[in-house]
Amino acid sequence: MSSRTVACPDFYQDGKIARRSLLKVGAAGFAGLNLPRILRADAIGTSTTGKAKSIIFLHQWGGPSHIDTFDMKPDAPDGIRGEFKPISSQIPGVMVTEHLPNFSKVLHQFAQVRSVNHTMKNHNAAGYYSLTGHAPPLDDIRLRDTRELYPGYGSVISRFKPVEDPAVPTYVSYPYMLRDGSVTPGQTASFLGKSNDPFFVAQDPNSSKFQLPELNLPASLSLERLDDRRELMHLIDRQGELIGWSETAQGLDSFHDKALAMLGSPKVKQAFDLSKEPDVIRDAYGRTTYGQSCLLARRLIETGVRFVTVYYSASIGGKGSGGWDTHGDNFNQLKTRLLPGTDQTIPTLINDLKSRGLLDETLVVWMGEFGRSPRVTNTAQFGPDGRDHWPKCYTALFAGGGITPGAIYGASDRIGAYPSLDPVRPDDIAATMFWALGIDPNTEVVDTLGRPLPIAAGKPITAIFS
Amino acid sequence: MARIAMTLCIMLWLGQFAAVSTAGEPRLDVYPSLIELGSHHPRQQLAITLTDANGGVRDVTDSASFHLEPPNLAFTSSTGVVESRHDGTGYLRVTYQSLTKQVPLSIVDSELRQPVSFRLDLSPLLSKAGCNMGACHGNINGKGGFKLSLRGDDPSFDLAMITRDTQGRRVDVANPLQSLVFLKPTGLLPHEGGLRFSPGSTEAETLLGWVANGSGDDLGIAPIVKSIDVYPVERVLAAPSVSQQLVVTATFSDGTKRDVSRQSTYDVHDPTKASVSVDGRVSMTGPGETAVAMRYGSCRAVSRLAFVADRPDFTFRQPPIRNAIDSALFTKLSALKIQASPLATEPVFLRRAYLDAIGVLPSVDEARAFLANTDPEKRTKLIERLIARPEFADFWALKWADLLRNEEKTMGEKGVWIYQRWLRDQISRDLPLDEFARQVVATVGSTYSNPAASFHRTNRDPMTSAETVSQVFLGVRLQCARCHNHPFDVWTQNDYFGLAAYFSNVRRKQVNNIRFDALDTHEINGDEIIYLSGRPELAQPRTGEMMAPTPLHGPKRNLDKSVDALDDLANWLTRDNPQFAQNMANRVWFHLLGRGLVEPVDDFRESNPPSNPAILSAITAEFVKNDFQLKPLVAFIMNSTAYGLSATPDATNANDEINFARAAVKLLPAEVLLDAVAIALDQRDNFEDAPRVARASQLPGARMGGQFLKVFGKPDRLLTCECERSESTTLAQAFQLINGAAIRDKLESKDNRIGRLLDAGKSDEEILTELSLATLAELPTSSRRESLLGFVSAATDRRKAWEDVAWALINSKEFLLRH
Repeated sequence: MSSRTVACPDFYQDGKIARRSLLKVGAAGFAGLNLPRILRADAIGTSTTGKAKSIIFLHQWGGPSHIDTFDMKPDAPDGIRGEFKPISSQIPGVMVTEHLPNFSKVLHQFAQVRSVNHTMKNHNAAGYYSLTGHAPPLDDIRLRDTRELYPGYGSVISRFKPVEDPAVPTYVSYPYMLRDGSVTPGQTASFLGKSNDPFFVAQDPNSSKFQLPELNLPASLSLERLDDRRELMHLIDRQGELIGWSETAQGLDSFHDKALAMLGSPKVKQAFDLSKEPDVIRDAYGRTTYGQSCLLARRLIETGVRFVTVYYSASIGGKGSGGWDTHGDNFNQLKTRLLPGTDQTIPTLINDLKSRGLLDETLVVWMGEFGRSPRVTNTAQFGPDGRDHWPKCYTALFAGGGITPGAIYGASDRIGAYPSLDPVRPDDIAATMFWALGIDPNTEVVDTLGRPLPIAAGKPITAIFS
Repeated sequence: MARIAMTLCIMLWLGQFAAVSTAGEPRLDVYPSLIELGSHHPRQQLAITLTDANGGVRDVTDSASFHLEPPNLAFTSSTGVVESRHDGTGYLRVTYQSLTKQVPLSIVDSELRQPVSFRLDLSPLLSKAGCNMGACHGNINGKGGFKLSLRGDDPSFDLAMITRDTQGRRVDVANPLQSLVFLKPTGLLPHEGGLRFSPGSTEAETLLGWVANGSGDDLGIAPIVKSIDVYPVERVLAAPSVSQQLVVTATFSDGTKRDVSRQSTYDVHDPTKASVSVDGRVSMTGPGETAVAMRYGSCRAVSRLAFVADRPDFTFRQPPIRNAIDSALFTKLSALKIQASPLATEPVFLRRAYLDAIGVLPSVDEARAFLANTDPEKRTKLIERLIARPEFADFWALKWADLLRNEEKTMGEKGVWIYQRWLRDQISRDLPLDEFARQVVATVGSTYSNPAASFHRTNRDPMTSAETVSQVFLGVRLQCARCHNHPFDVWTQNDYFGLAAYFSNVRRKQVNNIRFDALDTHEINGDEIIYLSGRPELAQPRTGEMMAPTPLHGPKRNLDKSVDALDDLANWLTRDNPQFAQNMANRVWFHLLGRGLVEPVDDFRESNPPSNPAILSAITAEFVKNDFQLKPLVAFIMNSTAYGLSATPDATNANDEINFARAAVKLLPAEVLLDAVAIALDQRDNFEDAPRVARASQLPGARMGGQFLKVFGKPDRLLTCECERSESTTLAQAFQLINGAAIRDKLESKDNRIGRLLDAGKSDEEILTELSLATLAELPTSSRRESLLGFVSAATDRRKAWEDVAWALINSKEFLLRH
């Protein structure tokens, strides 16, 4: 028998195939897992991984002005640099706005990424991008929250690195559901299935009535009676046969047990009981929705929750209320409404985490869906002193969780309009968060159309970690 | 109509099962039975098949040995490839164990090898090596500055990118080994996409040959591929085999044929279970079924393989055959050596039939009567009664309301009531579904006066309308083809925009619309008038060509001005369109059996064949025979033995999820569950937003009914997909069940079933019997009676103890699940 090249070995390397099964997650898709992504994963070579145990994600809805806060341009021309003066921080040469005096004292604990950029100009589209790390299919206010779009970070983490303690949820989000006209996508588990939805709390932690009906048994139902009921339920289930072999029945049972564990364990319930916190600490965070939300985040992380999303506001804002969308009267809104609260709450959170020894294992991420235009605008609709949406360059902050304190990554040009160094996409920020928790950003999920998709399409910014 | 021809082909699949058990002499077969090699066709992949004495079929290509006479005529490989060496004739002798088979071999023009063709060799190679996948250079933005057309849709574009882009740096005709197109995929230069083929592979040889020949195009010279055929198209393989060699043959415009097994690109449905080598060898990880799709140029084919588990002592326990569904089901199960689970018990069947047909639990009296009834025909009579009940219309209208997206934002607060009533009325009078589809698609006018026109209110642009019609009425997902030719299916952008053109002259006029959100044009709260204006035509965005209304794969229609495009669409959709009937039958099957024969139900395509084509064919025929009416089809399916099987797995069917060998176990849909709790505790809900509605499944809007329904997966009706109704279980559901108000209020209400029984002075024994019938439709078993009565008698507060028992019954998996 003779042979030539016809019997040559497969041109796919055998060693890669084992990796398939390791990375393959989610429902089976038609195309399944394709090879190049795996090979790419190797090419990236994320051999080391982050060491954070949890993440507090502070989402700044509306889009904070980077030029008026962390990436000031004092030498830029009139009409761009704005009216605020920079003050120094403890990092030589790194300045911050005069309206964040407390923040300037903790800024050296942060790593700043000053070259975040994308192209989505609408809140819902950009918001979705910032909540998932995946570019939306269209840049349109009507981008709908559907199961075809990606899950939020916390849901991905819930899927791939759930908390082991049955009484503790992996992902908690509050106190609002973001919307701009319609609900902003990216706040749920989407196609990952409801079991990975956040434990979502639509209440104001600063309210005196703040409590969770789910975690509070009615007067008619004591813990002892609940125990009786659970026993009866298990008895009836065992007398039937479904529980023996049906995965659906077993799944229901495990959620029952989880809910009963949460009801039965004081842990999570106590974490939500902010009255347990000394007044001096509550005051330090600020008696605001945002202040008490950040305090709650610390309490949840202490309990073992892995991912907490604190939404800054329910609406994008504008004059008088809500978020960072300062199309008009930008400077007044920043200095009277937006920056003072930020200046009180965030430094308190960082100091509190540090003094409790939690900062090293907790990654705090502060970012909005975009920055604001370098040019100060004067429009008929919003009046003078405004700044428009600006996704082409803005700043994201990272603290704790193994980052290098004081690191500055990337840079904007002289007017803060475009990245001049190391541009970073929201995809990379997603990858950074997953990587920080020890989850391979190339892990694949399969969506409703059967497409295999990586949980993050970018690369982790490992340069800001030490 | 190519699609229709395709789906009919699939139905022949069953024939294979019958062939399996023919006993006789062991036999070896070689495919192809005659090997002819020439200059354009120097290589042939073989597939060697063993048929054993029991009629079992196995592929033995890689364990057979090959001998040539004369010996130096050609090269052969251990994987069953013959390649020409000298001109001449002779034969190839194939030996497997004691069996041999001889096939004639003739070779001409062995010295006259054809130069490498861009169209026939190189372009398929880019697909084969994955270069043009969506994740790689086929991405809309390309990768690393190099872009190819997605999956090789546009070879001319690819050629330009390879030879012209970046000043032609990618090919070096003078020194092919220095070409980037060679250095990158072979890993000789860093390549983010990794190693695609080794520098010494056949693929590299092809690539270098093409570059050395001047890296030119041969459009107009090379024949055009007309079709590809795969061997075997379908096959059931006996244990212990878990692999099959495929042979793919292309037929060209000049009439020649060529083996393209090595050049074809293979895709499998579930890569965790099956894989395909570069040469077309399919390997499974274990017994089971797989469909392998292959592409060469613009042509596709599918091979369907079933590998039977090794069960030498298997004898099929034949359940009773009640109709054509059963013979189709049991023929396949027995061929695959999978047992059907036994028939479900009476209480389980009773409960299942109520839940599936009308979405409510049987009352205590109904359950008692059915269980006591000794009529052998009582299941059939029960089904007859159920489909005649008013709840049937409520329940099936709910399914249509989900699909046709009856939700408040677009339909308005009043609109959802009007549309729901219309849907319910059509189900109630059993309007044939072809007529139903016609009305949905072609009705115009006021959505208040002509509620069927609401389709054009919820689908607000031609593209969305085309996608919805295709998905709902044909079970075909066109979405991919909006931006590029469909990667897994035959649909092109022309198909997509041709269908969308039907809706391009639909106009909408709003009456007194006061929006809550001024920016959201999808928010409509008054009446809306749907009307037609102008010529229906739409520009295809890639080519700019104006598309006239064209059915999928249909010929261009020359629509007379007097003909409404929408009427023409409705005609094409419902008249003599087997895909319409097949899709509708599959959806009804999905609702009753918990899984489509084609699954997902809206993903009919050649590479996603039905798990049992004969069943699909049987229910489609029944549906057509009954003039497209829903009720007779529901009765036909429910009367089959297949429907009445138990959910309890058998050792042979425990790992099988696709063949309906046992009943599905599913969480009750949100509305059905809430209604079931209400019936069990005899306490109806008071819906704040719909005070006169008695049951959750009668609620017209998507937002109505409160937190409980949302938590249990009632869809927002923003998608045209059955998948929007979430079937997943969640933590929030557990909290609802444990201490949510929807259940707690009914449980603690003084005049609920417990209160009524206690007030009537019933004994504990009587109370337990009634609670058991009300929740699980069964009489309590002796062990359950003993334990539950024991609990109640030991309690200090009898009422509270019964509340606890009722709670536990409602939270039991037998109550929460359809099984």
